[in-house]
Formats: sequence, C-alpha cells, structure tokens
Amino acid sequence: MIIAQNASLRGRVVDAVSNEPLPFVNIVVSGTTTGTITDLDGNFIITGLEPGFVRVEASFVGYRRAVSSEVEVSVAKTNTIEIRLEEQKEQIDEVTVTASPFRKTEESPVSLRTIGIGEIEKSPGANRDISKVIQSFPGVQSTPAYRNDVIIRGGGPSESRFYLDGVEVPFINHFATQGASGGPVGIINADFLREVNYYSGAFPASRGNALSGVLEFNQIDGNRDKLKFQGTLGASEVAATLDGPVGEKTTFVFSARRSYLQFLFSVIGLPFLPNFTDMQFKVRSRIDKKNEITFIGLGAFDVFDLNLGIEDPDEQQSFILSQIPVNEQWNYTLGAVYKHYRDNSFQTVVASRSHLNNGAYKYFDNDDSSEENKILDYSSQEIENKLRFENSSRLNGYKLNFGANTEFVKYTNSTQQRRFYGDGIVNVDYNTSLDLVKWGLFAQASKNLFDERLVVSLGIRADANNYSQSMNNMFRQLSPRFSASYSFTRQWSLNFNTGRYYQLPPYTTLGFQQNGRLVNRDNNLTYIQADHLIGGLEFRPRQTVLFSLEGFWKGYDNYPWSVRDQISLANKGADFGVVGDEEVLSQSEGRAYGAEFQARVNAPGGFNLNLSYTLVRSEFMNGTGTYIPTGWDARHLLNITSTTELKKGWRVGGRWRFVGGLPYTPYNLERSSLVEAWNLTGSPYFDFTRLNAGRFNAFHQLDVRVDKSFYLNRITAKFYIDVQNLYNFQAEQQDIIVRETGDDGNFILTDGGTRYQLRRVQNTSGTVLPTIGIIVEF
Amino acid sequence: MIRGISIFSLILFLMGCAPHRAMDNEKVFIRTLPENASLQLEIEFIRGKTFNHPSFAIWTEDLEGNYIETLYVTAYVAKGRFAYGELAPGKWKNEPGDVRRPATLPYWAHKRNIKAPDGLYIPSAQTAVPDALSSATPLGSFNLETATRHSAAGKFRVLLEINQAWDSNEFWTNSKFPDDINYLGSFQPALVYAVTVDPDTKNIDYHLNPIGHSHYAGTDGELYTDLTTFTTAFDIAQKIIVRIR
Repeated sequence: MIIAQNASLRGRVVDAVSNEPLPFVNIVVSGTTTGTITDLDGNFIITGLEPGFVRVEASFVGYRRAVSSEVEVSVAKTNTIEIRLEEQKEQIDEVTVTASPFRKTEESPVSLRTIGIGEIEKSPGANRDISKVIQSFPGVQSTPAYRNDVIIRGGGPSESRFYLDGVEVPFINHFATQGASGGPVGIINADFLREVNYYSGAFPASRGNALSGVLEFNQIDGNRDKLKFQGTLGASEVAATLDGPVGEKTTFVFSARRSYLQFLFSVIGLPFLPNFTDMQFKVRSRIDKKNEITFIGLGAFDVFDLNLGIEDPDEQQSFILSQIPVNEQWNYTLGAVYKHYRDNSFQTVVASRSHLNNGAYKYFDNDDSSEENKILDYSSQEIENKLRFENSSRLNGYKLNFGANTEFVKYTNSTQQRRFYGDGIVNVDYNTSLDLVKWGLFAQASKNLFDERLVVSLGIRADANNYSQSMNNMFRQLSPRFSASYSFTRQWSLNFNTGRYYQLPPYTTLGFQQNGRLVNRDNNLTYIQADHLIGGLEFRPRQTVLFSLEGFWKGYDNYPWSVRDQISLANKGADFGVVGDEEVLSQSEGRAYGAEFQARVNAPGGFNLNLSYTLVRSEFMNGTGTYIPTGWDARHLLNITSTTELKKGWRVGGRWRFVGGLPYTPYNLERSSLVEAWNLTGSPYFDFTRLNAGRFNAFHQLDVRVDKSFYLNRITAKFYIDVQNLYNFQAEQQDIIVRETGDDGNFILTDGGTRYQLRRVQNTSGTVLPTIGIIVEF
Repeated sequence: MIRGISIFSLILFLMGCAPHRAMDNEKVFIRTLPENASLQLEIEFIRGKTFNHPSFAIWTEDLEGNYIETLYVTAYVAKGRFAYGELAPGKWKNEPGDVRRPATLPYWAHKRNIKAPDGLYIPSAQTAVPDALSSATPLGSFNLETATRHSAAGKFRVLLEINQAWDSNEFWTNSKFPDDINYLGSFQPALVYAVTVDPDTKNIDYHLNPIGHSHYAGTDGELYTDLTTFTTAFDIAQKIIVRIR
C-alpha cells in the first residue's frame, strides 16, 4: 500500500459581517510556510499537504488575523472550510499580531473553550462522543462510562442548553432523561462536527435559559465537488454518512446510525437491551452573496427492552430487572437558519421544531399477565416551535447584537403510578395538556478600547411566558451580564464576567397535576435564578499554548424544592427516567464555587495536551437552612488528555481522569422493606433525611487509544483501538438491594407478611472496555 | 422520524429544482487595433469550467517561430498594475498597485522581447502594452475582433498563453518550490496554445491546441512540452477558435 502525501484543502474567505468574498488574502497552513492567496472570489486551494488535521491562518490588511477551525485533509477527499475575517478599524502592524486557535470573544472573555474536530476525533476514551469529550475540559464533571450527563461547575444536568448551527436542540443524548439532558450515548455524529464552543459561564445574551452551560456545535458543510461516502463500524454501532453537492450553490450532509447493542448485550447476558437509531442532516444553500439558508435535522429513536430470557439471574441482574422500566423514546429537531447580509450588519432568522415522545411502562416483577401488576404507565410529549430573530452589526467600533425570540410549546403527560412517601401511598394519575407561549428580548454591545487592550461587553435579556402571573412579567426575569478583558501584555490578560441568569423549570414540573390542578402553578412556581461571578487570568506564551486560571462563584435562588421528599431538585437528573414531575416550591437556595486551571497545547505537529484541574464545591440548603453538598460536589476534578501524531499515520493518546468522591444518599431500608412500598417500584427508597450524607471513594480511570490512518488516493481508511479503564478500576457504587428468597424460591416475608427480608450486596462498577473502530471514506 | 426523512428529501428536491444561473450566456465582444493590420481575424474564446480571472495574451508568429505582433493582452499584465497591489512579496494590499509577476505570461513576454528597467520581460509601467491592444479581463467567454499585419500570402501561427493565479494541483503543489515567490503566485505554469492559419483557406474554424507550458517561475522564455502534470489548467479554456473574417 502506498501512502500518498498529497492532500488538498479548499477554502473561502469572507468578511464576517457583510459576507463579501475577500480576494488576495494570505493563507498559510499553521506551523508551515505552505500557503496561497485567495482569488477574486475569495476562494483558495492548497495542495501537496501531508494528510491529517490542519489549521490555516488568514491575514489581510484591515482585517484581524484569523486561525481556522481544525480540518482533516486527505488525498481521497478535498475538504472545504470557510474563514470569516473581522474588520479591524485600528491599523495594527499585522506582522506582530498573532491569531490563536483558542478563541476568545468580546462577550465571553472567560469560560469559553473551543474544541476542534481533531480533539473530538482523537479523544481517548470518548469514542467520538462529544458529551464525553467535553468531560476533559475544566469545570465538567466526569461520569462513569455509562452516563453522559453534562454537569458543569457544580450545576445539575438540567442546567445546560445545546445549539446545533444556531438551532437549539433540547436533547443531545439517546435515552435522554426527561427534565434533564443526559443519557448514556450521544446523538450527534462526530462526522458532522467542525468545532464546538463550550461556555461554562459568560453566556452571550442571545443564549437564554441556561444556568451552567451552553454548548454550540458548528457543523461542516457537505463536499462541494462530488458525492462522498463514509462508513463507520464501531463496537456497538454501524453508521453511514453521505455528503456532496446539490447543484452549484447547495451542499448536503446526511447520516444514519444504528446500534446493535441489543444483540451484543443479549449474547453477553446483560439484563437490559438498549437499541438506538439516529439520523442527522444539514443542507446549506448559498442563494447568493447576501443570502443563505441552512436546514438542519437531528433525530433519535431509542428502545430500551429488558432481557427477560436470562435464566437464574444473579443479584445484579435481579436488581436491575426488578426496577428498570421498558422505555421507548424518540425525539427530533428540524430547523432552518436564514441569514441576510448587508454592508455593516447581518440578520439571522431561526425557525425550528423539536419534539420528544417519551413512553415507559413497568410491571411488578415484569409479570405482565395481569394489568393489576402494572406499576408505571407513562407517556409524555414535549413539542417546541421556536422562532428567533437576531441582528448583528458593527457600528462606530461597537459590536452590537440584539433580537427577540418566541416559542410555542405543547406539553402532554399521562402518568399512572402509585408512589410511596413516608405517610403512605399517593396515587399519581393525571393527564396534562399544557400550551405555553414564551417570549424573550436580548441585546449586547461590545467595544474595544485603548488600542484593543481593554474589551468590555454589556448584555441584557429578559424572558417571560404565559404559564402564570408569576412568570409573565419580563421585568421579573431581567438578566444583565457584563464582561471585561484587559491585556496588560500581548501574552497576559485579566478577564472578568458577572451576570444573572434565569431558567424555566422543566415542563415535567410545569405540567404536573395533582387533584386535577396544576399544583405548581398554584404554588407560584417561578424561573430558577443563578448569579455568576467569574474572574480569570490567562497566559498565552505562544500561539498554540494557553494557560488559564479561573475562579467562579454561582448563587442559586428559587430552585424547585420537592414538597414530598423535602430536598432541592438540584440534586436530581443524573439517572435514567424523568425528573421534576412532582409538587415543588420555588424556594431552594444553593451555591457552587471553586477554581479551574487549564493548560492547553495544540501544536501543528500533531501534539495535543489538555490538562485541567477543577476545585469545586456545590451546596444547597436543606430544610433547616444549612448548606449540604449536592450530588455533584466532586471537590476535585482532574483530567489529563494527550495525543501525539507519530510517523506513517499512527497516533497514540491517553486520558487519565480523577473525580473526587461524590456524595450519595443512603437507602431507607426500613421503608424499602415494606411490601406495599417495594411493590410500587421494585427498588429501594432513599432516605432523604440523610441527603448526600454518604460519600463514595474517589474515582479514577485511564483510557488509551491507538489510531492508524491510511490516506490512499481513492480511499481513506482509519482503524482505532480505544481501551477505556485500562487498569480496571472498580468505582464504588451504592449497594445493590435484593429480596431474600427461601429454599422454596419464594421471597421471605417477615412482620406478618408486611415486609420483605432485604439483603445488601456490595456493588462496584468498572470493566476494561475495549472498542475497535473502522472508518472508511471514499 | 418519517416526517424528518420526508422533509429532508423535499428540501433536497427543491434545491435540485432551483434554477441555476446559466453560466455566462452573454458573450463579450472585444476589439483591438494592432498597427498596420491588414487581415481581419475573429478569435472566439469559450470559457471552461475552471475559468477564474485568468491572464492571457494572444499574438502571431511566422512558421519559423518569429514573433510578429501582439493582438491582445489582459489589462493587468499589459500595464503591470493590478487591482490589488503588493505590500511586500506575497502580501497584498486592498488598493491597486504595481506588481511584478514574471511567472504570469513568460513565454509571450520573452517573445515580445521588451525588457523593463528591472530586467524582467513582463511589462511594467515603462514598457506597457498600448491600450489599443488591451481591455479589462473578460469575466467569461468572449469574441475578439482583431487583425494581423501578416500579409495574405503564406501561413502564420496564432498563439495564446494563459495563466491563472494560485491554481495548484497535485503535481504543482503549494509546497513544491516553497522559497520561490514567483512560483507561489502561479502554481500550474502558464499554458501555451497554438494553431497554424492559412489565409487562403477562409470559412473554416482554426482550433488552438496546447503545445506546451512556460517556465514555472518565468525565469526563461522556453517552451516545455511535457503537459502530463497539468489538470485544471486545461479547463480554463474549453475552446479557442480563430476565423478569418
């Protein structure tokens, strides 16, 4: 096999505001002297490149020097990138200005991290799953292999929002937890990604309804030259991506993926059989120089069955089979983004529709011979139709962004379930159909001062909806934010942000009914509030090296407080199922604070290092007004990820992560053992009077990955081996509780037949998880 | 999901049906007036799919290869003044300026044999080609009405040299001659087309064909006849036809 060293890259350079093509722009491949100049239409082509991941730098008089997002170049396929150059009014000697792959915006000088496709593709232990990749970044809590919850800076998994090319997508994980966002496997196909912007604070005013994180996924465009195919065969799934041109102005990317976990899990005797299918597309049409439209779609169909064919299940299998419901879920988002460019401004209109359909049922001991045994019958839909208008402009040295958004929501929920609280059985049986209209306004202005040494940005947004009197006044959800960044040398800068943010409680809470009434509306449910204060110091000794230190403080107010469990909902959401469908009061207070250190190296030669350490405390008040740790009070988070390109298409990488011991709530075995209580859930009950009173031992894990790529003339083939948890660390888990059986095989009953005899079984999780991936592109 | 798929197909279908602007239906007519011309010629240039603001020159030679006269040169080359001037070698400014680009049309420039003060054959302000033989670069196909001083007796040759800036391919890559600033402004070198015209045989189409390429950096005026490494440069022109009027 001959490995050709002749990859090529096409690109286009335009003015970021007017979208006018920029001719005669100098283009250089980062870390090399290879380059070219854009032609009169702003296009360029670079040939003779060594295959792999590259960035290019663009410079032109009167514009800020820019570094492109990372892009893979191969022989079989010519990729295309677009570079948007920002005009620079003040003439600064362009030779002395360096551009960096680590972006920093006027609005978000702190807490914004840009993740390139190379880092996503190569990330050890992440298996090309973006939710797992971001767990290497500061502030993000790492989770064991089977969960993808986005837990940022001590905030719960429901506190982040996700955008795909500017379109909000409510769920990015399969088997999503309704009312939160996490799940075990990501939906977004890494083949589509160009770059991810991850905000752990300093949210731009145009991005509302988030308290802890905003993730913006930017997708690639389809191939402009010809139809291309990429097939991926992973250990658990098979995927195909097709991309190419449709006519002269339009490109598309389409992918479909299906897991075969159901088959695999059945063979190895796991008690649950998950299966997922997803689809994703993007169609972008450049109608003309001044108008373009993009359509995106993301959809998932997930089925979670039980493996009832297991003979003589062991304790762990019994524990799982006894409590997990059968779940069928699908969701999709379809969106259109229209952009109109003028001389000094551009307008964006985003229209989208998202739909979640979530259904689950459970028969006690999985005995469906009688409807009497049904302990859960759940079906719910969340339909959101969104419209957003944004105007972005540059005027007299100000960068301005303002706009408005509105949303029409339909939420339905039909639940039949009996729940056991301390004082007896509560019948939860309701049908909700909630129509909601939301609206919001936002504006942000930024300015560079003193030869661009000081950058300040002031933003404000306000949101409201017609759910209740307590929520329909925009002034009660006034959300200001302010950022400042001062560069005291070219390498050192001090950065600051503060803001007050609001988030609507989940629909599951808004639509929860008790005795035929929206009990939470009667309880004057309000938006959840979080105040952020962030300060940071940044050192960029070289273009590709970044050190940052950030301190953060978050103060939460009006968090939903569970009336029955007497705990804050801030502690829920990192498990399968549904959260928030209960009576709450908007009265819980909490805080999260800490510091983050990050060192990043993104050298053009193919060496990447990402070291992040986070010290975090996350606490909410209990019923007596004292702060107790939340479930995300990890205290110490450490991540070291590094990958290196070797010769001949080989690449090796490793990731070691450490998560300080997480709190857990002990079981209430007294209550759990009651037959009437156990039979409603098939699982033990938590003792919420001792919320998060226990703490697990710390968890750490090493993942390694070896890649080999063959860049051939007509085909690119890549193989990788990814081994998660190489040294087989056993993470401590909450004990398994099983019902004791007698010699006759029946459950032993005590106290006159009112209680089961329960037994604790120690539980750890952890297995060496090797994955082999094959990616073929032609 | 069915809904998702059908909307996706619909979008693709609509995009496919959207009318695309026909590529340059309107042809441009250019007229040049070489001195002492007697034989009227029409040259039809039909653009190819990679046509992208190329520079070119058209001239005549006798059958021995002796230069007779220039019939046409694109304006930037004719005056050595480009819409984007040069700040420093390889760095461009956002306003017009004089630029020395010897790799643009070196074969024609050496045939023309007029040396600029800096020693290069490519025209400069001092050695500019007269306005009568030039026009702004056509943006697509064009018809050139011109004439040659070559008398009606005997055959002669019409040649065209064409070059497009920054059109690298897998052989003429961006990293082939990394230190040669002149090569870095051209990549695939200028192509030379030619045809022999017989003034006695009118009413036929004389098709110009590629006969070779110029030096990659414009260092000499030689013709290099190995064209195996040229790809997209062949598609700048689809057809070039000479007719005697």
